[in-house]
Amino acid sequence: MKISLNWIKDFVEVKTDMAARDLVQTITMSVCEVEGFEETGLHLKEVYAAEVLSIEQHPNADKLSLVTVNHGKGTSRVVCGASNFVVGDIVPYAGEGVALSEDMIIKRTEIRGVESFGMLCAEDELGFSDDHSGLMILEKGIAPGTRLADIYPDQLDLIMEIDNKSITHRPDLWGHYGFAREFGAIFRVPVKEIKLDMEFISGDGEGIIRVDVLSGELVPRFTGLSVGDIHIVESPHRIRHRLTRVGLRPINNMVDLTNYVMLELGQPMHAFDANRIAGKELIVKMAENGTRLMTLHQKEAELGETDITICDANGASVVAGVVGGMDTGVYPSTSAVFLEAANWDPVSIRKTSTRIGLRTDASKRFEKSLDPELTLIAVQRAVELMKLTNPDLKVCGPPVDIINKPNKPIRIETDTEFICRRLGKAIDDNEIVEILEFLGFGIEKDGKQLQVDVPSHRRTKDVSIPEDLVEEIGRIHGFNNIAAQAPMFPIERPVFNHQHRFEQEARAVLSKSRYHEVVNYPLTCQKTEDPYKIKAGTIMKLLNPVADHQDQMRTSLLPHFMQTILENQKITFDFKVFEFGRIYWKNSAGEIEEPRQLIVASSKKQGKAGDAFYQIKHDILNLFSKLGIANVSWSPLANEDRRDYQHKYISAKINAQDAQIGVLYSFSPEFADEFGIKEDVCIAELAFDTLFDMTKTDYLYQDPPKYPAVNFELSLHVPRRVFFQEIRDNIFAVSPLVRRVEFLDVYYPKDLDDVKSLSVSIEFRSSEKTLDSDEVRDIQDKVVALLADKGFKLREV
Amino acid sequence: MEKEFQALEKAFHQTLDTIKQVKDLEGVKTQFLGKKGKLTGMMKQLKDLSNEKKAEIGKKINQLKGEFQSSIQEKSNALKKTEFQLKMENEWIDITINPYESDSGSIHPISLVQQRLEDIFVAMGFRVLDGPHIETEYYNFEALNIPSYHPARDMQDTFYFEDGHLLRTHTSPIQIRGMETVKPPFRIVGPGKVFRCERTDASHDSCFHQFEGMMVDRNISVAHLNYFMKTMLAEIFESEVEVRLRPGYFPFVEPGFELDMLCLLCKGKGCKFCKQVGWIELIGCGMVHPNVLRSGNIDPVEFSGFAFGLGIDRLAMMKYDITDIRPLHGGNLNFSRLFSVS
Repeated sequence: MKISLNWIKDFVEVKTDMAARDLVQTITMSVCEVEGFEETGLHLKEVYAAEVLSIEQHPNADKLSLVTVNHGKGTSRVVCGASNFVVGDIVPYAGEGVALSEDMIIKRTEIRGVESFGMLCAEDELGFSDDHSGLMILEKGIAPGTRLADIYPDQLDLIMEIDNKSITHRPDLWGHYGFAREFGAIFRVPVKEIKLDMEFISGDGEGIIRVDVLSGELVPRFTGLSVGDIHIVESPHRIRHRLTRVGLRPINNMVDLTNYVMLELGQPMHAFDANRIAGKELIVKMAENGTRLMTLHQKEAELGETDITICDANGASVVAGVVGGMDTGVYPSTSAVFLEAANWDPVSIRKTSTRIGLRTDASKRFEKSLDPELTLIAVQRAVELMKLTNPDLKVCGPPVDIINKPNKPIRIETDTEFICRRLGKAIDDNEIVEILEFLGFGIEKDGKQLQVDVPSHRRTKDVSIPEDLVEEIGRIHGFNNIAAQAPMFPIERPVFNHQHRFEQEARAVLSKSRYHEVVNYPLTCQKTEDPYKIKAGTIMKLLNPVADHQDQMRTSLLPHFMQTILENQKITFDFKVFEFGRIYWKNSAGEIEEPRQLIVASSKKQGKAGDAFYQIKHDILNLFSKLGIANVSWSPLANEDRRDYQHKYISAKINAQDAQIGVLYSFSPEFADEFGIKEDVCIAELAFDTLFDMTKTDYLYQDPPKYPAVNFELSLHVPRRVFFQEIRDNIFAVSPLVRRVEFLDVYYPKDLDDVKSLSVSIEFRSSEKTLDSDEVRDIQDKVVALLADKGFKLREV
Repeated sequence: MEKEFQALEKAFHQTLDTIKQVKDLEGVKTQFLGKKGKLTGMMKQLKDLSNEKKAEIGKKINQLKGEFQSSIQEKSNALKKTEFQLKMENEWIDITINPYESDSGSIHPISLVQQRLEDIFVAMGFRVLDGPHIETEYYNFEALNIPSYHPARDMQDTFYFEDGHLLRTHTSPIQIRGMETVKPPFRIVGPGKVFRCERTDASHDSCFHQFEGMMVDRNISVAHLNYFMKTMLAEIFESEVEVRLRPGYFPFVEPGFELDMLCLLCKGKGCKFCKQVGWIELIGCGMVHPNVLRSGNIDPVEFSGFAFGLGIDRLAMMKYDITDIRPLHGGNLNFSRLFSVS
């Protein structure tokens, strides 16, 4: 919303020596957010009234003329394209070097072979309106050489763009008067009061329109007035220019004045052509389902039983609080009007405006809970403005004023100590009282005790409790004047979030193992998840997605993570990435679950089968070690557990402490081809919550072995698809003296098809004595014999 | 005998001179000093001599033996030295290459900033809490003093599920869940993902991250809030920061503020980064609304508190000079690699 400083100055004296930037800063710090500001009309100090002395045809262009003007400092010849003026007219003249806007600086130019000295201006070029139909014609009698800034001083203005969101709780700030009141409090200067005229209220004669409000619950107040003997003409320039400056297009005196009153007081109004109201009666009621209404925006609205309408004998003619209808609107021929200013239920207006997709300046205000006291004042102000163009208008009777809900007074009991305590600063009692009074609050003070009466304009929504008053005092005093202060509190035993610390540790370990952390969206779609055949509970589907590809919650990190991998394979084939995140579903008991998942990937240039697999296995073992997870084992994925895209052999179940905590796998060649996965990619999916819940092993010191160990290395010929694990288990079974069995190496002899040569290192040690050579030989023989017995023969050298 | 000694000595040195490798010295040892070696052979001849002669010749043999041994040792040392030198000469490597993986790994900027924030507040005695992303209207709105008719509840801001649940639009539900688990006085923070029904552009995303905080005690004031906000920002940006509190509206606080930080780049003069304002809007905060305290079964007469919420993404973008919010999601390596020092 745009706010004009000059308009505010109609009601309050603002120090003129304040720079625009400082004024804006004042509003920002004490009232609401200002998104931007613009000082208008500065160029008018250099534009002069000029009298047209002669008009000649341009020798080389039919549509151009050569105009000689007297601009007070002499005469100049200007090439001009307009033709709406005659000799003797007074028009605006901008000479060489004058900047009308940033990108419009007047230069001496040659137009079709004739030099032009300066420019004669249209309204849009000077910022008065968007009219470019011809030159702006000034009033006769203005002396040539008079600065336009002196003719139209109101044009030298400061326009501030207020962030609407920052005043959603302040219905009083939706008009200029509200800002005037704020300035009054900030600068402690009196604000011009707007009073109801008793003569106006009692009225004269008889109204021509009857009003009946049927849905009173949703219409706290309805005010209206018939006015006759009027003419629809253009508004005075001051009103037109002001409306233009704050972003509204002037239409005619009647439409403009309803807008003007709305921008001034915050109360939207509607003007009916009184002669077009069928039956001379307006009934305010809920629409019947399926009601259709052609609005002033030339758009048909379909209404239902939740929408308030104002009807005449022909049916609905206005969507209450949102938009007027074509049939009963004001036309150039209109000679009598019915001015309506009502107070509508904010929730109802918002629902209607949202439903029919029309948010108007009126509905935006009504949904903020306007002050019901405004309606009558608005009508009075409208008549006052109407007299500017229609001094002989006839007010018909006293205004219609139907009050359905009393505007209940609110009194807050508080004390000045409470206010200071909440702010954390001692503010003088007098200042507190003064601020509240300037903002329109009524005060009774007894010592530190305050009885505060909330004024009508702050009563509908935002001020009802002592804390609200703390805000009023704080913002006008300046929150920024409250110094930071550390609170005193006792030191307590710390309570850590172990889950976060666990996650942070995992993140640190993985990044130190050269993994990059990635973050993907938790929103996805079925099409993205389908190929991965994830088994989850009931999928959480959104009711109102913004995009088709984000209409449900992910049930696994995998699908988006795969996109990350594919995307990054365009950059390099050698990388390692991981992601932490929640996955979502509803379980069979109907409860929503959000378990955490950790997913890890390695992409490598294709080398030996299993390179990427072993890489991740290595890194995960390191991770588990750092996280204190012991007893980790790996077993092949059973056929029924394996998803079809997982590799038949390069895949494993990861177990710890007898529970499955994840899977590690590469992709089947068929799937890799289908999805465009190149080279060697391997993935580990880990149930991070399960991991967190596991027993963590802490370091436990033991005395180093007293007696030396004996190492024994052997190479075996074993069938290719026998797991090392099997060999190891067999060797351990030989004797308790076997302390360690480690894999050393494997190779596949070319001359033997089904056999691999497996080298193993074994450590024997006794905790009671040094083993002598006979004992060592004895165990070695037993190991060899047992392996031979199982069919694993020593490789002959 | 004398001649024999001289011949032997000569033969020894001639043989030794021909040796070029350490391993061949063993042969020389055997040939002259071994059990069947030449010097040992001469010892055997001693038995035929007189005792006097025996002593004289024996002494001579021992002397030769000593000389041979030290000559061999010397030769061995000299050969080893040459061999080591040669070995080293052949071990030239290109130290300017890096044949192993060069990627250093990284932690995502959102995680970095979140961890830093947690650390700062944990150090000041705050407890870190979590909350679900899929929330109820009660926790996300009602308990936070956002009544059913409030515009914030509109479908255009909030993602709803078919069963009436919703995706939390802010981390503030953690305030309510926090009050259900801890008794006042308390200090809590809660980081996490939040969701808004918004189209994505350079500064908006439908999913982003917030950091919530709340302190409830007796007589907590705006001055205290100010202290924590300043401290937090000074720690995050590792420099003293200037902040300003101005009125801002959030239904769950009263009074409510927007906290701006003086632009670190232009120091308030106005630049591209702060959109010529000189200040950067960072934190929504305020004194906890009495209705919110009541939602948490806390007596608003006895206790008061402050609460704040800030965008982690925005803070990360400021800290690391990221100009577009979109690359934060997706995990492109070209983005990730900027978060590892190399």
